[in-house]
Amino acid sequence: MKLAFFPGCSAKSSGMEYAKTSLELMKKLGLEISCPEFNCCGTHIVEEYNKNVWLALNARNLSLAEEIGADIVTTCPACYQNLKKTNMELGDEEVLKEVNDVLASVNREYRGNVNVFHVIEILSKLSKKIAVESELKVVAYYGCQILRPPELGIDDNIENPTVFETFLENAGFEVLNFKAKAECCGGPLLLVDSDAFKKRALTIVLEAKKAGADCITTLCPLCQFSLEVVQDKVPVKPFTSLILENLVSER
Amino acid sequence: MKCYQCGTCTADCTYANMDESGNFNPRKMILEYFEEGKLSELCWLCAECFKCYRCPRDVKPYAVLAEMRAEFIRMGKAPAYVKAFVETVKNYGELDETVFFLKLMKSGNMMDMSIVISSLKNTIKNRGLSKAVALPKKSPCAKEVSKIFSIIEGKSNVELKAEDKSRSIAAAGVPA
Repeated sequence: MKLAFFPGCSAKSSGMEYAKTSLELMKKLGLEISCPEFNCCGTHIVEEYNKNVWLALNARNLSLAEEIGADIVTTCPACYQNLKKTNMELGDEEVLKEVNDVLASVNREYRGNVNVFHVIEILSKLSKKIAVESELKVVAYYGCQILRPPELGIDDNIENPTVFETFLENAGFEVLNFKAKAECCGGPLLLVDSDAFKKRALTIVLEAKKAGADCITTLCPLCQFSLEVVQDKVPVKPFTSLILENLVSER
Repeated sequence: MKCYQCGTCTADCTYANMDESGNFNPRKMILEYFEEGKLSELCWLCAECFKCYRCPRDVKPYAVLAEMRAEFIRMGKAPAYVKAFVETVKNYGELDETVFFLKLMKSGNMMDMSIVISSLKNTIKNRGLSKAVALPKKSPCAKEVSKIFSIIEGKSNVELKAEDKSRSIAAAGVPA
């Protein structure tokens, strides 16, 4: 399978470590990955500002992957959602034609042949190849957008997902039961209500502490940012960093 | 109205569960929106957690709140971060976080300083000091992105205004 890596905008600053280690780990496992010049997915902000701009931005990204015959793999659950949602909406031929009329002005076209994956979906299929040695007790934190809404989330039990823990356990970590695993980190509130943002992020951290975790591991750059920025007592790490730091073999 | 006012959305809502004032109530916002066409400014406090997906009538409360925000934007009544976000993406091809935060500050949106400082510490840790303070660069795709924006914007007439509402919105919400 050929993959195009979609790092998301945060990869250039707040989410840099996550993007870097994801790419490194996937390459170590022998995946064929290229990095086209993707643009911002626009997220719900551009979608609410102008639906057609949002569609065209995401269709441009999809067309870049299609051009090289690749599927997209991304670290960011928000980008994941936006790309998947666009793909669904472009299933309507009329919408696809309208969007392609716009893309024509930048000499691009999308035919609808790209699948979108989150990095956990790719790596969890390769878990037999990964072995770590670690004494750390970790909790796996999903956050929201990797799971919800159901039509855009990963294929897992939405109320009690397990793919993330299973993956970490197979790799060799001790993973603790974590009841806040699919609760919200408050990230999007940062810009509108920073008190609520801090309160929410700290709630997740406290739950992890209660569970006895040495480390919280994340799969979303915004969750990573939120949990890290409000405290420095409990280490928070992108799961790909945690694996690389403790990797003993890629079988 | 499809919604039969069961309140599952409010019971599941991340923000409503933190809001001791009880003002943030998606069930009520949806009722007033469908019955009276009323837009509630509180829609900007939605945390995008999609917990309200469990709606037994499949109203998709998160989508109703998104539609309210879209209507506010069309009326020129969006919080400043919307303009800062859209303009950054339009001009840079991506959300350069430095450009975005500078634009935000220029529009008078005061970020929480404790967050700004620890976020800066994070950036330095991730990027190294020299790159953390480097000037933002346009993404190679910026030209194509700007073109896509202008072609479509030419056909619509939404004007973004930088009106800072973050404090008035938050004042209605969670007590510190």
